[in-house]
Amino acid sequence: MRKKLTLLLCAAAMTLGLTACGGNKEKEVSVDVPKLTEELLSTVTSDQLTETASDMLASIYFYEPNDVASAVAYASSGATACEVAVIESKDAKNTEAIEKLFQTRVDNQSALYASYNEGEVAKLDDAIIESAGVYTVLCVCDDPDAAEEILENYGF
Amino acid sequence: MGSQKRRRRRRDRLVLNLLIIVTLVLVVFEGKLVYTMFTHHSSLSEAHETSSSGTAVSTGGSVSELEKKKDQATTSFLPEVSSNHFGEAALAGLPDMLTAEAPADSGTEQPDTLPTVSDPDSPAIVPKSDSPVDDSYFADAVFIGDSRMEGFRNASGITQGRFFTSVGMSLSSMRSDPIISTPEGNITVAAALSGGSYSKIYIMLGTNDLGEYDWDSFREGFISTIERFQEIQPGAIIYICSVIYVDESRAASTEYVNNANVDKINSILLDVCAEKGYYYLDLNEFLSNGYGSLIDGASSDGVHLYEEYCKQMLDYLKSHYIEVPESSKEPESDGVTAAETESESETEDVDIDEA
Repeated sequence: MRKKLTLLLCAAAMTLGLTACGGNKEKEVSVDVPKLTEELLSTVTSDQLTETASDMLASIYFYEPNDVASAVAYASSGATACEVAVIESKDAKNTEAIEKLFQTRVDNQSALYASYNEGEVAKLDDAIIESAGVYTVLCVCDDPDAAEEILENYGF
Repeated sequence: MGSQKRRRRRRDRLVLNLLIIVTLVLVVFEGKLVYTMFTHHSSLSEAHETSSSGTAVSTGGSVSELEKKKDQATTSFLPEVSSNHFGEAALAGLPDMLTAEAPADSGTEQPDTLPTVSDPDSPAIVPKSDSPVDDSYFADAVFIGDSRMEGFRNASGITQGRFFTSVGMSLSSMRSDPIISTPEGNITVAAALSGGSYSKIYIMLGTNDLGEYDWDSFREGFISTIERFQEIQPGAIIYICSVIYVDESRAASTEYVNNANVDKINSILLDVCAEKGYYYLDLNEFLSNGYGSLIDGASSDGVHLYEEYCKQMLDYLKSHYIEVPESSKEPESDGVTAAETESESETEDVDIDEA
């Protein structure tokens, strides 16, 4: 009987453990997007980022508009590679695809900045791409450690 | 009695000496002031006469109007420039005229502002329209350009149009390098242009070419590149944006990124537009400080514009445009055929619109 109970407990623990492997993506996370972006913008000190019209974002990040509930992005005047983008997917399953698109964006930018302004490539190397719940964040900034800390506080 | 007389004499001498000193001081300092007032007045009159006698004033405002604006500027804090009207462009430059970049000696024969184009009468220059369009005008437009165009996309608030931009885009890279981002990686401008059908093509190029080429090569290369784009998008209106002035005091290097080169390359672009039937957008019309330089405070690094000025640029594009004649609009199917043809000739066969 004890053995059966032990086995059952082990199975339950394993199930719970496996569920936890899903990480933050499976968590119910509610993010105050304007507040989060405002905090992330404080990690950009070398440039003055401005909000890009949301109508333009699908063509910049190449996401499928039907999969996205909302998107906000702050981009550079062209002087630096810094940018902050937060995309809220309609379904948490889509966040993986958004992460890939963000990574493509970073890779493309790295290739272009390498011959234009090499100093910016280091920032792109430290780009943060993280998801929590239905939210995916891209942050290219001057203080990635501070940005990581901010994201942790929001459940990323 | 004798000692009293001596005291009086001493006192009188002292008073007399003091009066002489005061008079000398007045003559030295106040005399200079009076002299300065007279010379300043006469130099202003000379400048006025010089301007009135037909010196080119690119902003189109009359001299008296400009002087009125100067007076306003000295008595009140100037509001931000909210429109791109010629007269207001002059107003935007006034703070600089009155401060750092104003000529040190107002007596020299300086015009109030310098022209921003080599030929102000060129028919290629797009005039201001009385009825501005809205963003829907850009729905079938494609914007090709360097980081300054990218900054415009990011900060102007524009909501329509396709952007093929790349930081560091030069004539050479625009012609052949894979510099336009897609989900599958970077592709050439020509390949990107082939992925859709456009009625208007806006091109902003030249900042990264200042001093890179001999000017004749630049001219030839520019023409052949635009002609290639026309083959891909036949019938599209070609707008060529002027190279925007830089703020040399903030630019990282002015070895070749300087306003003398900007003026030179712009004269080539305007000349090409006149020759080939392209349309020239003189963005320096509202971005010049009046002395052949970018408005002070318009950019953090002397090159890339702050949000406020990107928004002004959008307003400028909305009020400077050419009507698309219905007859010249290409049927969608033709555009697709052209695109397909181009795609076949490119190694990167990527339809970016599918993304």
